[in-house]
Amino acid sequence: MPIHTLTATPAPGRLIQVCAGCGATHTICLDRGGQKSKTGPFALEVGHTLVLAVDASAPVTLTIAASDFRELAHVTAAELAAKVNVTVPGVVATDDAGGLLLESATTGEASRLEVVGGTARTALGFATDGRADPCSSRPVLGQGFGAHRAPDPHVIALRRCNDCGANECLIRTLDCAAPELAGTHFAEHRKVVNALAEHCKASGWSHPELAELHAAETVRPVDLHTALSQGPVVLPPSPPPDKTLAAARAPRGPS
Amino acid sequence: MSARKQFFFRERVTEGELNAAFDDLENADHNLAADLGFTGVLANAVVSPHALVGDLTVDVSGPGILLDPQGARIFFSSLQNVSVAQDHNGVATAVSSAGHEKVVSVFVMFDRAVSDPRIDGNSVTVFFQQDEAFKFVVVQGAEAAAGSSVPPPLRADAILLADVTRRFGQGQIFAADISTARRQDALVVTGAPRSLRRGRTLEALSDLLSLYNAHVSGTVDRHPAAAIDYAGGGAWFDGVANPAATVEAQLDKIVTDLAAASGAAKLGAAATAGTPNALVAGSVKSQLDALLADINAHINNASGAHAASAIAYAGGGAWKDGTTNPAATVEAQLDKVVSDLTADAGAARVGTAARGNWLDGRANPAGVSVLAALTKIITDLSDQTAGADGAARIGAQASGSLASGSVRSQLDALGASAFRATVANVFTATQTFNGTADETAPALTTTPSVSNRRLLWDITGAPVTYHYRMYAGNQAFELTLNARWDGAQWIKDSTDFPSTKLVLTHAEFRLECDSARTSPFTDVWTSSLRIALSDGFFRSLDVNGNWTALGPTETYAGWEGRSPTGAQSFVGTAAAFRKVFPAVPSSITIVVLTSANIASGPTSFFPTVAGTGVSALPLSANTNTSFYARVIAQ
Repeated sequence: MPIHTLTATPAPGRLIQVCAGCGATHTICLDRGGQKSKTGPFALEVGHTLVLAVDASAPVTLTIAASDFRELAHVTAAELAAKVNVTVPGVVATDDAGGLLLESATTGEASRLEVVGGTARTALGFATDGRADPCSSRPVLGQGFGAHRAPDPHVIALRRCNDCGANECLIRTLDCAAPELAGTHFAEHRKVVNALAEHCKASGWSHPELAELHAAETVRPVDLHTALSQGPVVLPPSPPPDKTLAAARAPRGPS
Repeated sequence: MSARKQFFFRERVTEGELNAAFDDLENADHNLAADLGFTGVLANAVVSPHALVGDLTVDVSGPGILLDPQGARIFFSSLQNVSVAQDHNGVATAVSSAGHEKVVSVFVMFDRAVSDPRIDGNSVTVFFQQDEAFKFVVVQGAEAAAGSSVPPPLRADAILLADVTRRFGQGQIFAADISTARRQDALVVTGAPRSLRRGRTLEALSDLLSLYNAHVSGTVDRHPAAAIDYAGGGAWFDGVANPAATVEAQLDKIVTDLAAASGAAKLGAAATAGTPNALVAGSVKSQLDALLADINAHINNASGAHAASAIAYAGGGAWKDGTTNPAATVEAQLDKVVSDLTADAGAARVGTAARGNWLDGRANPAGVSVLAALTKIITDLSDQTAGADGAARIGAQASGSLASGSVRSQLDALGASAFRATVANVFTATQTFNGTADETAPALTTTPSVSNRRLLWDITGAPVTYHYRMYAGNQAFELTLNARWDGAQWIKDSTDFPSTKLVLTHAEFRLECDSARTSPFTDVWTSSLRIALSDGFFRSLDVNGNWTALGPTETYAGWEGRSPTGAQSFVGTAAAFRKVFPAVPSSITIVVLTSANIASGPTSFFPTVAGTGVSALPLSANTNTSFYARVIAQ
């Protein structure tokens, strides 16, 4: 289940994502750039570095020292966050469900945080093969591909899950789910995603290539959660994917 | 006396004189009878139909003795047979016309039978012996219509024995054809009410004496009371006179007088002594009045007329059980009746008439006591004899599908057709289990809990050689073909076929198959098709082959090749979902398994209900590029 909780208040709002690939839980601020490590503890080494680019500032390097942690081979997210918070300016680091959540201290379109280098990336689960995170800034509605391809106005790409490397895309849907599906996780998730998309549109959080298009839209999603402004929307637990189910189904006895 | 011939000494007697002497004596004899008027039939000579085989002759009984009208004696010793088919002239007596008749009279007349022929002096033959003889003369009257024929007249030279009636076509003389009304018996005296017809005097006198004696003794020919005089007598008690009259009239008067309302007043009655009541002298009427007054006074006595102890009971028959009822007073007997009947044995003392038969025909005859009858009821109803049990004797009305009859017949019908919990039942008719109108009430239940599995239904799958079975498993419902659970493993009915099992649990729908041709096999089936149901997903498989379902699904996407040479040139592919979502999924997660020369992505674009695009931005142009990723949509 991608979205577990979505709340627009207090601003800037946030969503809690459960990775469909591995089940890890991630907190994503709606108007703030950020990155998150894999779930700790982490096996760090003395001299490990982590290079962070925050907003438009020059990258800052965090270096791990032996005295930073009680046990480098088992550094918790909270320990590491504490290290970051006192070392890297403009970054707010927290322990997010056992992982290290790094967020820009600023909000808005310019708010951005990227892991651009460092020897600690592997230990922390950040990519080292050059793949950029699809969402190092705040989540935006729409996905642009430059002049060579038509953009997709319905996709909200979320931050990569560094536990499994999954890239999740939330899809704004304009079709209407059948009434008999009301109350199902499928329908409720669609309504929440559409609510998020509407919130993005209303907040001007569109992909730059799609801002004009979104502004000109006259069609709104039909399946829409209307209670977002009233407080957090919490979805029930998502059913596991088919693969998970299949894995659980070992040959059994008479029953 | 006859005339005499006085022959004398040395008289030369002639033939004529000797014959005349005989004639004189014979004439005197004849004259005597004629003078006395004593002619006719003296004995027998009764005419009857010919014996044994009837014909147109009649028999005349013998010995017959008659005197003809001249006094000549006619005698024949034995039975004579006389034909009436012809008259004495040889003329047939047959009747020529239908509806006609004639009377043929049978007479007998004197005759001579001559014999001993001798030659007299004139050379003439003379029959020296001339005996008495007889001959029958048959004379026929004129033919006339039936009922109007006239018989021939009587003859002066013969005696009529009987008249015989001849009819048209007659072949036999019957007794009814013979009439003796004109028969000339010697003594015929007509009179009323009695007549005489006899041949001899003694017989006639005897008849007269018998008639007289019978008259005197009153056996026959009694005098009518009207022919007897009553000289008159004294008056009745009430003074009504009884004057002279006939006995008939007086008897009628007596009856009339006594039958009248005043009859009792006409009869006198002497005084009768008695206590407490006596009767004074008077008439029967006065004494009846007095008696009636006394009786009414007694009867009208409302109480205390008699004490029961003062009334004798003569004793009576014994009770049914033999307990006697000897002589006693009515009081004692009444007490005994109550005592006898209220005793425990009371029912044994009272008899009962025959009761109707039981329904099976077993009789309930009379001759038994009430106790015996009650005991027989219990015995009859508790009888467990085959074919003669108590249930066969009790009636039962029609009920449901059960026809009216006996309890036995209905039990038999139930036994033959109804469900019995402890007996294997075979239903050859369609059974319907509609259940109640309550939608929650089951129409059919199997209640024992299932620890492993319970075989609910075994269907013989003819003509193939395996069975179809339905099992209630532990949290599962199973249908099998060619598989029987023996408690530890599955047994194939036929190893020529695979075995299949359909399983429905609380979580999934499963089809399983064991395609091996060996038996037995364990509960791990070699092939399985499983559909999970408990995750709350919506699923459907439509006729176009689309598998539509809610919930996450995972597919695969990969791309490998040389990256494009242009700037911002993406590589990508499509990932078709393994099902169709009922609406566009709102989350697509792409988990990269491996990649090369990828700068960003892959990410989803333009997803639909059936799949999504997967696009990635290469790092460098014209470089070996690839990504392989799981695609999870929901």
